[in-house]
Amino acid sequence: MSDRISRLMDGELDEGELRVAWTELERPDGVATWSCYHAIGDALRGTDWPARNFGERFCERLAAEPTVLAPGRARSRPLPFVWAAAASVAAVALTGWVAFGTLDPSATAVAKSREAAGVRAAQVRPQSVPADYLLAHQEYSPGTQSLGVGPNFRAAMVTARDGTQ
Amino acid sequence: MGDREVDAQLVERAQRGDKRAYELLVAKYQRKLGRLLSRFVRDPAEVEDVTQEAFIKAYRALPSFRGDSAFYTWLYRIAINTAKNYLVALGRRAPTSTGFDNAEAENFEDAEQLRDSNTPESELMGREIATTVNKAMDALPADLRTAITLREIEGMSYEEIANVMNCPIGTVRSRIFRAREAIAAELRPLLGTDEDRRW
Repeated sequence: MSDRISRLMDGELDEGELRVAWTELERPDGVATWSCYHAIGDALRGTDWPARNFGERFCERLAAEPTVLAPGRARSRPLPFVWAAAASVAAVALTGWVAFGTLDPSATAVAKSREAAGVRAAQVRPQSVPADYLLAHQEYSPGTQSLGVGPNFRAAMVTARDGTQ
Repeated sequence: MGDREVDAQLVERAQRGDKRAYELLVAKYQRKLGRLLSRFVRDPAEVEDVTQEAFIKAYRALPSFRGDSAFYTWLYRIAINTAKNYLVALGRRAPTSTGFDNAEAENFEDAEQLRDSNTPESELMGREIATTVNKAMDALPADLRTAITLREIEGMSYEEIANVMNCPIGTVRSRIFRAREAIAAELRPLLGTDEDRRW
């Protein structure tokens, strides 16, 4: 008999050797060794309980019992749908990260353009430039060269401030 | 893989229909459980019956065991209930202040009370086992005796024993195994665990 049973009962057996150890424990001499080693440990700890032929009588009773078949637990092996769910979550997270990562600079740009428009409006007011002058020269404004929301914001502000246009 | 994991593997095998795996759990815990139940039931023959009944009830209940607690803790609860029900059925009162809880279930020791409840025959058997083991221990070389003492009585891991004995883990494995084999050679005829009998 190898020392695998000794190490198994001490919880010191490597995972790779488990299969061989279980095979050894399927043999009658393996079971006898397991039982004897535990009896030694119990005796050394003063936990000996002298029941003669307890095991033999118990095996007879157990043999008469219907075999227990419990549904397997998924503790040691994650189910396939768990992996599928994890992959879906990862994919959504990646897509979201990429999408928001791309949109973020635009949002910043819009916020800056609003801020810039506000500053410009504040600077325009003290100079008291006539609104009709601004409208007349709007076509020369750099804002008209670009496509976007900037020119629309400015026109709307001018209209609101003037009240007449 | 620790002790609890070994039990968990045996339970899983038993839950898949492997009765031999359950027999290994019984072989491991029969003495511990028998001593525990001797606190409730005084007559040794009755203790043995109740212990058998507790193991059978636990076997039937195996599908409900999910491994949330250690197997022995779960078995302990079943055994206590079995003993109480047994006493109620006999019209005796179950002890109400046993002072046990789940933590104590792992380390139950009560040698004095057990000795009180033993019959002369079982007491003789117990004494024979203890004498044989002690004699075999005395005959061991010092390094083997130290290694198995640190493992079985102090509950140290192989790594801890290697540190204490200042030797490689492989040497600890070998010493413990050789110590067990030397004691087992003396004990097997007494236990009736020769190769012609299972356990």
